[in-house]
Amino acid sequence: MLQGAETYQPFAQLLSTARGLFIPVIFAAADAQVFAAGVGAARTGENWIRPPSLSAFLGTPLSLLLAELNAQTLVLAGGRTSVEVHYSFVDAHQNDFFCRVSEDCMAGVSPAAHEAALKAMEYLQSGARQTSASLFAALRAYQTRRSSP
Amino acid sequence: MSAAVRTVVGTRLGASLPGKPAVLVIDVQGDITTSRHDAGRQFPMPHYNEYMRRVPAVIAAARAGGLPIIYLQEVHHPSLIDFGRELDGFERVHCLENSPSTAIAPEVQPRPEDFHIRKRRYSAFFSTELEIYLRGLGAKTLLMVGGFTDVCVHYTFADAHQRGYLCRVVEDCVAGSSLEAHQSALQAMDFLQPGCLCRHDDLIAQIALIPRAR
Repeated sequence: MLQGAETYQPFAQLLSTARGLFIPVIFAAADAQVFAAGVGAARTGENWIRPPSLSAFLGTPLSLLLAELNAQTLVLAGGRTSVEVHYSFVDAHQNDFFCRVSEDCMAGVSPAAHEAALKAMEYLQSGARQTSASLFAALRAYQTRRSSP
Repeated sequence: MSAAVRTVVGTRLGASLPGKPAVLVIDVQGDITTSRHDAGRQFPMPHYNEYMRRVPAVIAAARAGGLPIIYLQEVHHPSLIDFGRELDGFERVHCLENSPSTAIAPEVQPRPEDFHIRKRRYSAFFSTELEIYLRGLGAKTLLMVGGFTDVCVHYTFADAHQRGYLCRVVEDCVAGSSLEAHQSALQAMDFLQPGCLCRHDDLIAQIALIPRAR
C-alpha cells in the first residue's frame, strides 16, 4: 500500500534495478490492484503470492519458493511498514534470512508507526534499515561479485 | 465502569474476556527482584523488574479462576548454533541453557498441572507445541504477560492475531527493551486488535467474574 508519489519513484527504480540485474522479484499482495498505478506488476515468469493474512510467509508457498531460489537475503519494499512489512521481516528473521528494508520505498499506517517499525527491524538486525540508493549499490556489487570468476 | 482501563492509546475495555482464555507467561526468567536496567546501554526499559513483579498476582488470579497457564521460556544451546539471526542486531548472547538466569523466575514457577514450553525464537508459536496445547485446551483468548513487549510479546501477539486468537496484553505486566520500543509495540498491538490492552487489576477483576468450569 504505497502512499504518496515520493515512494513510487524509488520503488519503481528498485524494481527495475533488481530486474536488470536478474535478481528474483517476488510480489506479495492480496490482489493485483495494489501494485497498479504504474508502480509495476509481476511480469510473466515472476512469482506472485497472495498472503491471506499479514506476514508474506503465513499460508503461502514463500518458504518453498525461497528455498528453490536458494535466496539468503531478502530486500523488502512496499507496505505497510508497521504491519505487512514488519511481520514478514520478523518471520524472515526467525527463519534465518538476512533482511534489508528500503525505507524510502514504504509507507506506514502513520509516520510514527512507520518510524517505530523501522527501529524495531533495525533492533533485530543491525543494518537492516537502508535507503534505496544504498540498496541499488549493494545489489550491483552483489551481481558483480557473483558474475566475476 | 468508573474503573475504565486507561492505556497509552485511550480508554479501553480491554479487560473483558470473551472466548475461553489461557494465560501466556512470556519469558519471565531470572531475577525479578532487582533492576535489570543497564544505564550504559539504556536496556532494558527502566523499572523492568517492577512490571514483572506484578505477574505473580495475575497468575494467582488465573489459578484461582481455573484458567490454564502456559509458561514460555526462551532457551539457547551453549554452542550458540540455535541463535539464527538473533545476534545480528542489538541483543547479545542470552538465555543459555546452562545459565542460572535462564530459569523461570522463582516467583512464577510452573506447577505440574501447568504447561511449560521452551522456545528458541521470539514468537511462542515458532516451532513449538503451543498450538497443540491451545487446541487441546479449546483456548480462544490469550492473556499475555512478560517480556519484551516489543519482541517476544509483540511477535507472539502478531502470530496469535494472524491465527485468529483474541489477545489481551496486560500493559503493566509487560516491559520492553526500551521505554520507546515498549510504547510503540503497545500501539502496534492495539492497531491489530483495538482494545487489547488492559491493566492487571482490571483483568484480575474480570477473571473473578468467569464462572468456574466444573
